[in-house]
Formats: sequence, C-alpha cells, structure tokens
Amino acid sequence: MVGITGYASYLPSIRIKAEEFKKAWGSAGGGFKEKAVLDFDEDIITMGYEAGSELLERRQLSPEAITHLGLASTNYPYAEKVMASSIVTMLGLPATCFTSEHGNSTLAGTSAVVEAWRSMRDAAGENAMVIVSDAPRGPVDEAWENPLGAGAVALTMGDTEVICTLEAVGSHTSEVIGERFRPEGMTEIQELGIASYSKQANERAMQGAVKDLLNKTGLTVADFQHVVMDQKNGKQVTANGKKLGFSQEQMSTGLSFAKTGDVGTASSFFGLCNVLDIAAAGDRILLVSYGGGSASHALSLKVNETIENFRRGFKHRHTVVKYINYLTYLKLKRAIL
Amino acid sequence: MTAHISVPMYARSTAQRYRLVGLRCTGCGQINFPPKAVCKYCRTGTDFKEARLSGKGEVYSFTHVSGPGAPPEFKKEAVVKGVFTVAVIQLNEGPKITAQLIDCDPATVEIGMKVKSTVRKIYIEEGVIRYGFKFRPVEND
Repeated sequence: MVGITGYASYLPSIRIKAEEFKKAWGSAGGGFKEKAVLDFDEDIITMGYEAGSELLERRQLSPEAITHLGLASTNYPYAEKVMASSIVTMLGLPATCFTSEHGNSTLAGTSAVVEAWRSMRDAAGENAMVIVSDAPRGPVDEAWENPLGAGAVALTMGDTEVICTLEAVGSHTSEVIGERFRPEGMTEIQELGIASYSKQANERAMQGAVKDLLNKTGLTVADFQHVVMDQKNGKQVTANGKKLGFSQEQMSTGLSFAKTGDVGTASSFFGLCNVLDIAAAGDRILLVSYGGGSASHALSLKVNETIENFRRGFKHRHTVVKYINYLTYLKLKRAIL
Repeated sequence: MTAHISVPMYARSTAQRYRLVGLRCTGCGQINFPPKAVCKYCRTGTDFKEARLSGKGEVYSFTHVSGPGAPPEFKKEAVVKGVFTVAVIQLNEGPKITAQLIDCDPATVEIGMKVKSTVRKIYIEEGVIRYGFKFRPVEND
C-alpha cells in the first residue's frame, strides 16, 4: 500500500501580524492572525529546498534514493523553465529522477500527490518526493490580499514505512469563469468579488469530490476523524465545511489559516501537517483541495502506527526571526520600490 | 562595476553553489572548495574525488553592507533590507568562503558564531536567477 512516508514544512522567518494591516487600513481581511513573508532573496524554489532538505535529513534518506520528484505551485519564479532541475541540483537528487511540475491553480498540490501515489504503486521500494511551495500575490489595496502568505510543505511517498496510506481519490470538475484567476503575464491574482457565486462554486466542487470519494469507498463523513480543506479565508472555510457535513471537532486541527494565512496550493498541506502532528494510528483523514475555475480532489488517508516513529522529536522549521511592520511588508512585496 | 559572471560560467558551478560540492585531493586528502584544477594545499595534486560539504561552519570575519556600499547586483537588496551582512565563513571541513548571512540581526553577528548553509537567490542578471548559498546562525536553523 502506498502513502505518505514523511512530511516537513517550512515557513519563512519573517512574519507580519494582522494588527499591522489594521493599523494601515483600519481592518485586516480574511480572518488570519499572522502570516509569513518571503524575504527579498526567497522564492518558491528556495522554500521548496528548505522543506525538502529538512525532510531528507529527518528521514535520514539519501537524496540518491528519490526516483520521482513532483512540484506544485501557482507562483513559480519562471512561467516557463523546468523548475524541478533546480530542486534536483540543490538537494542532490539523481539526474535520472522522474520529475514533473504542477501549477496553474491551487489544485496543483493534490495533483502532484496523486501522481506520485500512482507512480509509486508500480515502483516497489522506491521513494517519491512531492514539494508543494507557494506564495500567492495580490494587489495590496485589496482586503483579500491581506492573508496571502508563503510557505512550503514536502512529503515523501512510497510503500515502505508508510505513516499514512492514501486509500482513494474522488474528483469533481466544472467550468467556473470569473472566480479567482490570474491572466497570462500578470503576477497578481484577480478577484471580481462575486462572493456568493465563488462560494457556490467552491461548495459544488468540494461536495462533488467528497461525494465521489464516498461513493468509491463506501465510507461516510463520520468515518473521518479529521478533515482538512483548502483554506483561502479563515471564516469561510469552517462555514463551508459545516455545509459539507463536517463537525467543528473534525475540522479544528486541520485549520492552519490563523498562523499561515492563504498559502495558495500549500494551504491544505499545512493543515495536513497539523493533523499528522497529532493523529492517532487508525485515524482517517479527509483532505479536500480546491482550485478556482474549478476543480476539487478529495483524498482519503489512513494513519498507521509507523507515524509514532516518524514523529519522535520532530519539529517543523518554523523559526521566527522577526515581525515586520506594514511599510517593510510593502518594500518586500516590491509595492513601493 | 558588476562582477558579471556569464551564464555558462555560473551554470558550470551550480553543484558547488547549490549544494557545496567540493573536490577532495586524493593525494593529501584536503577538500578544495571552491573546486580547483590543482590542489591549493599540497600544490601538486590533480586527481580529485567529489566531496559534498556539510554546510556547517563558523563566522571568521564579517562586514555589514548598506545601500551606497552595495555592488550593483545587490543594490536593491540593500535598499529593501536596509543593511545585510557578508561574512567569511570557516567551514568545518577546512575551506573558507565568502557568503551573505541571513535570518539574523546584523547587530548580533560575532566572530566564531556557528552557521549553517541554505540556498537563496543571489541576484538576477539578464532575467536569469542566480541561486547560491547563504548562511544562517545555527540557533535559527
């Protein structure tokens, strides 16, 4: 059985609190408490390196043992160039490692995970690494820009020492125009602000994917001890979850939004890390991703006893070095220089 | 004046810049980093084996760079950061290299401070991102 064999996450050391947005604008959008901000010399690739190298060290795994590398982001530093080669060279993965990059929406993370899962099912004893690294950008004069954060999560996947088996995947895709989108050549997300339209699209996709998963597996919502969802808004995500039939108890651990803000396609993965940090053997986790425009994947994960060995003495690389004010934030965002 | 390292020249050195791969002289056993054609220690060795350094070391010397003092490639970085620190790092394996320090308040930098390497954007030239190593204090690792 193939699943997750390790996980690690990285948050940039520069943080900003929601209070700074309140001081600047009178209010802070999105329901976050604080978030991480890319330093001048950080990007999707350097964050991915941090999470990936942390994970290799944590698992005492030689980089040569990785035969599949999947990347996921909506903000690669190049619109066109192989990104995986930078990670391969930074980590020292073999040149023969199969690489693939996923992007274009916040669905990318689960796309990469499902691909690695399918790949490892035919590769007994091998190791895949999936790095989900994101830092969405928006116009600084919009309230919905306030919670856009940065971070990276790395997973290893395979059939050996599996801490959490991936059992099945459900999907739902439907064309939704004019929801969160970013036209070619633009660095900032566009948001037309058609609130109930977006909410309905989100519900439809996530409900559809969950329903597909439950049909395939014969499971019910009650079979899951934890539910982790794509998180773009701290308040909306729990309201949405309740509509989907999830209890506060099921959702609470997987909500990472307060500390990270909206980390694009990595959002649900920070929620997943929170859950994996405390989940008990036998627990089932429902991971529901979402990409605007729209599509959703629902993954059923089952936690194994081996998670105890992995978790022993483990700490995520979330070192905080400084909290910045709003002016410094604008400089780092290149909004005023 | 920019240092102007051409794209092919930079590309040839990515293993050393991205993950600190040096060359261990098979004659005297010392690791040359940056890699050399002739061993700088025994001055006769020309046969090497690749050796990846741990990235661990300590600050040997340092200087703080701010806006007017920064080379052109680093001008914008100096303006945004206000000031950044460049250090000579004595790596555990022996070689000394020059690199920026990150994730620390310049006022707290001390000779002997233990540091560990990571990867960051060094600069962008001709639209091409040049990645390379920078170091952070071990307590912030």
